[in-house]
Amino acid sequence: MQLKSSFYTTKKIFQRIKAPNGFSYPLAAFIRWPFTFEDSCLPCLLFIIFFSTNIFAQTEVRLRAETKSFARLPIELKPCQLKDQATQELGQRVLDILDNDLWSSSQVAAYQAEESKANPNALRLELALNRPTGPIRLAVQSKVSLLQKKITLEGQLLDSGNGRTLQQKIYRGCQDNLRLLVHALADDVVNALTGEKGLSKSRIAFTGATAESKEIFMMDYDGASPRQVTSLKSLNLTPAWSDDGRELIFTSYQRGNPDLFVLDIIPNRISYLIKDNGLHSAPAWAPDGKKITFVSTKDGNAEIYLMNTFNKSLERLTQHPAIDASPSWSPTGREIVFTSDRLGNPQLFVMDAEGTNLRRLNVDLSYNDSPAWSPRGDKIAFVSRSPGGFDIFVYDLTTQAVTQLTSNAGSNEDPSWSPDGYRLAFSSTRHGGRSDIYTMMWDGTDIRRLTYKGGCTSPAWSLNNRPAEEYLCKE
Amino acid sequence: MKLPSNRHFAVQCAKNFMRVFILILSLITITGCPGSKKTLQTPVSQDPVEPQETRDPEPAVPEYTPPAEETRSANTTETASAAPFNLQTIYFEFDRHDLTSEALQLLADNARVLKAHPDARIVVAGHCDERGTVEYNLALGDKRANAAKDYLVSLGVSSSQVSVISYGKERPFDSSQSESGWAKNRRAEFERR
Repeated sequence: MQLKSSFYTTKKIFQRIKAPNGFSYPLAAFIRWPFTFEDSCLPCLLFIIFFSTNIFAQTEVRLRAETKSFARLPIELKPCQLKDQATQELGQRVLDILDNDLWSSSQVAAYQAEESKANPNALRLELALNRPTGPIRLAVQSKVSLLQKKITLEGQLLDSGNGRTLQQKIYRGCQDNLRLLVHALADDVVNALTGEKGLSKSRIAFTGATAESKEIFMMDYDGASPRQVTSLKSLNLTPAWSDDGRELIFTSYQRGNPDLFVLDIIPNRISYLIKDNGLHSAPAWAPDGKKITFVSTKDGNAEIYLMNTFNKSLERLTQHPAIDASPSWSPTGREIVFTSDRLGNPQLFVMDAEGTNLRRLNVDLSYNDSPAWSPRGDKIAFVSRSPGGFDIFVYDLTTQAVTQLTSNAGSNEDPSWSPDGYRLAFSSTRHGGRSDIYTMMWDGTDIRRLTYKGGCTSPAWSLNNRPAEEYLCKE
Repeated sequence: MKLPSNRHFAVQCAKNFMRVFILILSLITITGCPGSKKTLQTPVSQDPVEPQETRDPEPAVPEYTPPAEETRSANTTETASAAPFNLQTIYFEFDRHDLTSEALQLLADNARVLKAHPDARIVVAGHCDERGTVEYNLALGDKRANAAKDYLVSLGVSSSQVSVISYGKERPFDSSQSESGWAKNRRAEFERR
């Protein structure tokens, strides 16, 4: 009876707080805190690790009511051990990249013991250690070796209470790819703790203004290593990633007409996908990588088409004299959300991937566009016109609630979800009126600026993978 | 589904009525004063309703001067045949691709020029202001260009003379982020190929 009432209370808290905020963790109600943590109890620890998402989700629910931020699992980053020609500087770089990656995962509060002594009031440590349930003592021990430009990075996930190793892995690659190796380690740590894939290896492609025109660029998920990937000296717009992270489709005016091009990233080779009269825009890859939707006016009006990437066959999905644009796939690949002005102004509609079962999303705003379906499936981010310009909103498919994420900061457009579904990339004119790429948490907090050159739009966030060739040394 | 299509039909009817009305009006003007091209163009430039005319400084093809023999060989019954090949940019309301009354008049002028030069090929380029997404504005610019083309064709211009392209919001005419700048950017331009 005691147990039952306690369970009920937990569930009630869970439900009450879940409603306005979003992500639902159904298991959270069934796993009850506190567990007594004993150093000698390894099975118990493993159990905690295994279900950690759910446990911390429950804690998170409590926290979120007060701070509207995530509770993170604290992890100590032990000083990097150096082997062979590895320098102190290299070790520090490993720690800095790892720190940033783990923090960006939204799941972990990484801290370094040195840092905490030097700066005991740091917000990060406070967040990490002042959780209501007390800290769980986990640590990451990294070892880096450098021999003839080859890096060997070893990562250990430790229970620092008893010194046991929970997971151990070795990453090998080129000195130039240090970031990528550390990203892989960070993703494995996140994966061990949460079962999720992380986001450190993902990239963001975007449209950037150049002196002559607009070209396609890409950068790491945190804005590092930006580079221009097309030099077509024409308008090149709206890049979209393939599921394997090897190809980008985009609209290019290189031939004088808006056509669809494919960029193969590893040999950096560009080819036509569609060159035909009329507009071809807004490409979107299906989650299985076997189909592409895009907008074409080949039948006289902007309609959404489906292309089979294997045999290039085309199928028309929408049939309406109004504009149909901006298709975005659900993570299951069964549905597509898109924009249509069939009611007189742009509104969001959902249809099945065959073009059937059309229905409007119940969003009570007058100008809605640029929908992006969350990889978790439960939310659709979109842009709506507001008095100050444009702002990013999120529609919750389970509650039908609409939440505004940005406000009073220029125009905010082009939302694109991170592969883990925790963050959104977007373009904003909040600084200086010029458009740059930013990311934020799905609840609108923790806004980070990634570009500073202006003229950057249409961010497209890849899945969390890299072609294997990228780990190799360039000769 | 019923309601929007009915409304759409009503709007189409109204548009058609407007077109016929303006066609009759322009016919009356042509037959009434078969004088010089000036009498034809002055009503447009004198029109005080929209300030857009005054801020339309760019001729579509400034460097182009029509060869003399082409002008002679053109249809002599058209009064505009002597006119330079000068096509006027038309403007649109926010998030709209239907033609305003000013646009209809300018298009009627453009149609006369095109009919006088049946061998000329033009591209109608649809543009939008910076508000809204890249994808939606590309589609909207396409709608605008096609609206202009369709009206030219309805006035007797050969559809093979006119092709369309959309630049969405990618090539603004005025990059000041103001209502007056946006108004200049929501346009369809006519370029000779």
